[in-house]
Amino acid sequence: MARKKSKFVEQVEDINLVPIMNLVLCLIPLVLFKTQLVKIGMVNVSAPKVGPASTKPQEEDKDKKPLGLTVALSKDGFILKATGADLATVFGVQADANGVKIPMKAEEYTNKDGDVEKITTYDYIELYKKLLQLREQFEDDKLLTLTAEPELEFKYLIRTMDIVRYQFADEVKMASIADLSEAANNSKYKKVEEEGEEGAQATSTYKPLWDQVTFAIVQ
Amino acid sequence: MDSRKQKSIEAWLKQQAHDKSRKRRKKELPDDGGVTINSLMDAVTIILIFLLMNFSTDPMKVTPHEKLQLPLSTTMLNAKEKTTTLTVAADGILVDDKPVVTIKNNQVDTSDATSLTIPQLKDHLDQVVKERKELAAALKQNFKDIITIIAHGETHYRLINKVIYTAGQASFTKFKFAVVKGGQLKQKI
Repeated sequence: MARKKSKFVEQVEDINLVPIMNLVLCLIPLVLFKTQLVKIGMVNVSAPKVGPASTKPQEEDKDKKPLGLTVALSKDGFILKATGADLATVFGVQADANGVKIPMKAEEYTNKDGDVEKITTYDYIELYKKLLQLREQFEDDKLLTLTAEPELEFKYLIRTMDIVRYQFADEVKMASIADLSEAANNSKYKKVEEEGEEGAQATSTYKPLWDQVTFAIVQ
Repeated sequence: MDSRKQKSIEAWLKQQAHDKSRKRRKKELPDDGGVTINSLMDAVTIILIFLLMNFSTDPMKVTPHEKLQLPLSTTMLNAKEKTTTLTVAADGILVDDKPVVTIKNNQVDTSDATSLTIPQLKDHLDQVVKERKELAAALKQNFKDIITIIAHGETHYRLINKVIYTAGQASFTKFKFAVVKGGQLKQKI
């Protein structure tokens, strides 16, 4: 005989989520006010030296004169100076009393609306090329002194430090600042393998260009 | 007669099938007609977890403000440790979020224009260093002479120069500048 199917259906009660929802909805604005959505990064700067940018040759290594490179940001462009070498001869250009000048350059800038504006700004690409040339000749020199006109805005110094920090990879095109921008944002830098201590694995780091930057304090 | 009987059986079968499907449909619908909040609950929980993760991992807080807009940078370094902070906003200098000096048109209000030291800032930093050294000694740790400078991007180099020099006078030797990560080099500067 067929068994009669039971008509009893178990009723599953849903959990009452309303109190939890209330709690969570109160927490969201609280945390939202306290949190920051912008990512804060750091730029390291060495302790500054007081007075005009000059480097004394070390006692024990008199033959090897440090380059003592200074990059100055003036209203007309960059000025490169060095205490340990004649930069005009190195670059094969004519220098004036202040040093080797890299004049400002006209750049095309696309604003948020997509309109192209013509602006005159620092020639960061030329600065990078010149510093790379110097790096190849003065491999051991690490310190770069940065200085600027008293009324120049601080953001230009940060931008200059962004350019001089690492060596870009060989495949990076140097046609415009947009090329460098894309390369920097995708970390397309040259890499160097650093041997670890005994048993440790070799680590890969980015090849520095002039990563030890100090600000010159001018009286 | 046979065809009439067959038609009535077909009609009865159709009616049965119709009733069955109606019953099934009726069973699937919630009885009370209430709103299902499960998916909303999932979304809200994910948002809450995301916010809490962001909230807990940053050692340094910078509140965006029109007088404190940090410069953009392509740096890869993060703010890893908590240090003494020196904020240079467009209208004042703060040490560890305490206002110390006021600024007008990129000039410190009371200092001598020719001097590199900002006296009020120097006094305050000396006090901070003294407290930090005492605390480090009590905890048997070394005093960290690192200072993080959170500067408005449009601050003049002259003022930055003075601030660094004054911090250096107050025995800080390592400087870090706070920037906003992910900046484009092709921005309009």
